[in-house]
Amino acid sequence: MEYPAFFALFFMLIALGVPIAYSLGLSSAYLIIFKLQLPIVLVAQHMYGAVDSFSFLAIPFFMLAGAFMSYGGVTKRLINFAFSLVGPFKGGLAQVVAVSGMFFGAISGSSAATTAAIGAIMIDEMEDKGYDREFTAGVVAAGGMVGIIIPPSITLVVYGVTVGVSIGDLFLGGFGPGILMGLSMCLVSYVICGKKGWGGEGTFSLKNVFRSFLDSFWALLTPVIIIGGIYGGIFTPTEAAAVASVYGLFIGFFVYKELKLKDLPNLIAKAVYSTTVIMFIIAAAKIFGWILTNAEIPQQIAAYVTSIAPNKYVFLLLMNALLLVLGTMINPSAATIIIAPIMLPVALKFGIDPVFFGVLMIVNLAIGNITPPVGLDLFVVSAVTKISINRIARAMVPYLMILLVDLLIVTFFPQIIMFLPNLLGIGTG
Amino acid sequence: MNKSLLRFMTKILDMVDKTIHWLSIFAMSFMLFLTFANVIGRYVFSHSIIFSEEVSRILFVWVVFLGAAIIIKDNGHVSVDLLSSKLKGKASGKVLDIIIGIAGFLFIGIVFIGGIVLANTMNMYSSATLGIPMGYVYWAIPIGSSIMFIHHSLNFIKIFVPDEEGDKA
Repeated sequence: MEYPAFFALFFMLIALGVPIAYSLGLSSAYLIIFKLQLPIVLVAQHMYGAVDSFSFLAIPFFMLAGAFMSYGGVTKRLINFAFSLVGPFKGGLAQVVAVSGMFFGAISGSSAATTAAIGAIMIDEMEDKGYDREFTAGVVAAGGMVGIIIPPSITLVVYGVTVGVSIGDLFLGGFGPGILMGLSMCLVSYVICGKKGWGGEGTFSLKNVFRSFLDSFWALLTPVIIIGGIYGGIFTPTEAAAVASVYGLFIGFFVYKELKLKDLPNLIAKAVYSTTVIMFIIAAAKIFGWILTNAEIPQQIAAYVTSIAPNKYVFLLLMNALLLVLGTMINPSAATIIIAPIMLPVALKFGIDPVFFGVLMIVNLAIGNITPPVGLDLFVVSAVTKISINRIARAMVPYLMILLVDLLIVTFFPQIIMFLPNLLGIGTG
Repeated sequence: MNKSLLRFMTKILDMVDKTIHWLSIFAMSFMLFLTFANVIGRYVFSHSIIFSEEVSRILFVWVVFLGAAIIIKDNGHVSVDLLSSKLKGKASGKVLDIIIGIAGFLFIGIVFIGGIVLANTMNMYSSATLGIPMGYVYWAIPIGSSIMFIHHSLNFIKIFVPDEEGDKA
């Protein structure tokens, strides 16, 4: 059988440090040329087929929406709003990071963007108020991580399009775990900062809350437009993303008036290149996935896993472990595109809902993303704070612990994810 | 390789890159505009822009395959660099870079050859709404991958030739 060699080649290339897209394409090409003896044009054909997709256009559009808003003065206002809510309590600023991470997550599609936006303001702010630098860096990395879970989420788009699950339902599913994780990080900040004597700033007043809410009202409307628009059947997810971008331009130019015309080319170019990185992996993964499906590998894996895992909980725990490890090494969208088509058939065999499975997957990958030694989000924070990843990681241990507890809670109580999709879900694309 | 020749090539390539850079920005803006205009058209003027989706998809294909070439410059294609960061600066690290480089040549070569065949085959078809020969769309692959090849070669040469900063000094 030729498939072990195919997998061995793939993992060897990845381990050597060959780009993921190349590794997917090369191992597939090896099989196509030498074993299946099919024409090599298949590689290009499948790559084209993957990119020729209107649905994936949601990826750059969501990136643009996030970029336009963070440059248009939205970040600052969301942080102010978060500050009015939790700033006055113990560990106030650390909690502000978690809460504004949730807010910003609702307009941005990735955790790296959320981390960068929040970090740019909060890191200096926290240092000024006497928080130590390692702790600050850890809090920002942890707080930004919910950006990928709370909708919109680029990785959920990738999952939804790849396996054919409603993006609207996935987005709704992301709210529960995102909020759970954000709030539990607030709790950890409260306890740690209480011990270290980092108090709150200012006094709590409903008047402040109301005023800063009004000020950030336009930004907070974004998720309502996106989710409401998709659910109301008004537009497709891609169109929702486009509307959100134009809306971002509108409030950046006309409401908050902080967006500058000369920033636009750079912001657009950045979205283009970040999209290209993901799309090129998706393209190469398409041919890889075709080979797997052709050889009925997912079915074989499903048969094998169902024979060793006695019930769905054992399977989910095994999945969690696998995804956490993957998440520390590979970017969440890349991991999703490789793993989802293989593992979803197994999950379906266990009677697991594909929406639940997708959101749980992204929760795992997001935690992996802030876990050393590799955790990609850590690099973002490390680059800004100039603190080594190891030192940030040490400060993050309590946050990682609580996030793992959250993960277990979400695994065993699917309602946390499924509550909203079940309540509102009508299965719109 | 002759260093001044290398520098000359880099200059030409920079011009190509800049063109692609601005074309991508315009293409992305246009896709955004079309998609948004389509929504507005549908609800406000109860008329959809029929070609909106097709044009966006065609542009998206071009943007991705040309963009894939540009991001090679900063080694932008995501990889797991646990091993290479450990071996950085050592002789074994250089060997690893060479292996990774060769893998890149193989992959880009396969995409290029496949892309040429594909573009020629597809030339006899036209797109669904606009009626453009599909070959024009598929040419994104061979053109994108040939620019990828050039950038990849330059990166590969840099394994053996010191950086530009190095030879100015």
